[in-house]
Amino acid sequence: MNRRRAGVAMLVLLALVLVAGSQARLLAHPLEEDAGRRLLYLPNGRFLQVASLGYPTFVADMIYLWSIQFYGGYSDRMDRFAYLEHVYGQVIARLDPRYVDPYLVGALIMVIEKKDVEGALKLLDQGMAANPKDWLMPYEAGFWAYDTAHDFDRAADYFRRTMEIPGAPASTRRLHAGMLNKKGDKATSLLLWSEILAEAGEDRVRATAANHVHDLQIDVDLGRLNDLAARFQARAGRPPRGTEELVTAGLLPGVPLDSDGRPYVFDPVTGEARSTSPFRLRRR
Amino acid sequence: MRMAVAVAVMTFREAVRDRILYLLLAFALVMIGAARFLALLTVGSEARIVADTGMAAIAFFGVLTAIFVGVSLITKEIEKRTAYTILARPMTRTIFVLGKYLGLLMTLWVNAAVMSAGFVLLLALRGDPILPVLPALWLTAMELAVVTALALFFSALATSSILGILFTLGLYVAGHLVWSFPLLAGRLAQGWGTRVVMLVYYVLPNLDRFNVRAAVIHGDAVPLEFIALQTAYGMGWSILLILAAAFAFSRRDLT
Repeated sequence: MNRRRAGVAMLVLLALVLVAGSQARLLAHPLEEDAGRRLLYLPNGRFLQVASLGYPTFVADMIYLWSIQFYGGYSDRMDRFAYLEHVYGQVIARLDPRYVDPYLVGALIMVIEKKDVEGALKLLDQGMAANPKDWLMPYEAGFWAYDTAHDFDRAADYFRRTMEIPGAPASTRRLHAGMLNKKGDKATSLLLWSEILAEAGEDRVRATAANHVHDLQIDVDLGRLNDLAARFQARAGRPPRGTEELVTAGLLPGVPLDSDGRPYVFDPVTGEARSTSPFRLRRR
Repeated sequence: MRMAVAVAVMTFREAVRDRILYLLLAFALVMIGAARFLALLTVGSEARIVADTGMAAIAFFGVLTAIFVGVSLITKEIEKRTAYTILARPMTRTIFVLGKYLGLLMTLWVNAAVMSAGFVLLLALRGDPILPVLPALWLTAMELAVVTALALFFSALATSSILGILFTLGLYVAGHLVWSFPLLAGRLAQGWGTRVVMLVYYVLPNLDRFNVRAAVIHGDAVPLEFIALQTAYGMGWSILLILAAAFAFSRRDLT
C-alpha cells in the first residue's frame, strides 16, 4: 500500500515538474513573445459574422475587450500595430458596424501609438458611413485632422459635417469657423464668427467671437485693399499712397475703417495695406 | 388535456432533477455576473458590454439546455422503457409528445426566468435601464420554444440522443444562417440551384429573427408589432414541429 502511495506521489511530482518546467521554458520562447503572430489567426469579420451564429455583437464585444488589453499593455514592438486596421476596421466593424467606441479607440491608437493619422481618419470615415447620425466620429476626425495632420481643409470639412448632425456641441461651429480661418477662407470664417457673435448666449463665447470678428474683419479688408491696390498700380503705374486715392480712382465708394474705427494705410516701402489697430488674437 | 398537463408536470419534475440543468444555469449566472467585471476592462461601452453579455448568456445557455435536455426527452423514455408504462394508460402518443414539450418548455422558461432575474438585478444595481432589454428577453424565450420543439422532433425521430443532438444543433446553426441564403442565391446562376437555395430559405425556421439584441444595445426601439409577429412566427413553428414530432413518434415501432 505504501509503495503504491509513493508511486502516485512520484507521478504527481513528475507531472508538476513537467508542467512547471515546460511552462517556464515556453514563457521565454520567442514564439510566445511574438505579439503580431497572435493576430494572424484573427479571422475576417465577414467570416466571424457567419461563425458567430447570431451572437455577432457579443463576439464584437469580446474582440474589443481583447484589443484593449492587447494594445493597452506596454510593448516596444512596433509590429503589434501592423494589424490595427484589420482588428478595428475589418473584424469589429464588420461584426457590429454601429459599435462606435472601437472606431474612436482604434483611431486613437493609430494616431498616438502607430503615428498613422491617415489610417485613423480612414477608420473614422468608415465609422461615419455606418453611423451617419453620430457626431462624435466626425468631431474626433476633425480634431485629428487639425491637431496631428495639420490639414485644415479636411478638419474644416469634418467639423462642418459634425455641426450638421443634431446633438453636436455648439462649440463645433466655432471649430469650423476657426478651421476656415486657418485654411485661408477668411471671408467665410468671418461670416460664421459674426453669426456666432450674434447668437452667443455666454459672455465668454461672445468675447471670443468678438475678438475673432475684429481680427478677421481686418484680414478680409486688407485682402480686398491689396487687390484694389494691385488694380490701381496697373492703371497708375505706382502703388496708392492712401485709401483716399482708391476712392478718387473710383475703386472704393468711401474710405474704409478698421474694426476699431481707424483708417488703413499702405506701407510706403512694400505697398502692402496694413491696419493701424493691433490684432487682438495671437497671430500664427 | 389533463393527461398532457400530467405528463408536463412529470417532465418538469424529472428535468429539474437533471444535473446538467443546474450546471448550465450556474455557468450562465457566472457569465452574467462576470459581465460586471468585463465592463471594468473596457474603454467606454460598459453598459453595452454588461447588457450584451447578459443577454447572450441567457440565449446561449438556454439553447444549450433546450438541446441537451430536450433531445433526451423521448429517447431516454424509450431506452429506460418508462414510455411503455406511460403509453399503456389511455393516452395517445400525441398527448404524450405535447406533455413532454410543455414540461420541458416550463423547465426552460423557469430557467430563463432565473437567469433573467439575475441579469435584471445586475442592471438595476448598475442603474442601467431595464425596460429596453425586455423585448430581447421575450424573443429569446420564444426562440427557446422553437428550439425545444426542434429537439423534441429529433428526439422522436432519432434512435439515439447523440444523433438527436447533432441534428438539432445542425438545424439550429442553419436556422441562424438562413439570412445568408439569399446572398448565396444571388451568387449562383439563375436556375435550379437558386430555386433550391431559396426553397430552403423559406422552409427553414429563421431563428436569427428572434435576435433583437443588437437593436437593444444600440438603443433602437423594437416595435410591438414586430414582437407580436415574431411571437406568432415562433408559435407557428412550435406547433408545426410538435405535430411533426407527434407524427414521427406515432410511426415509431416501440415493440
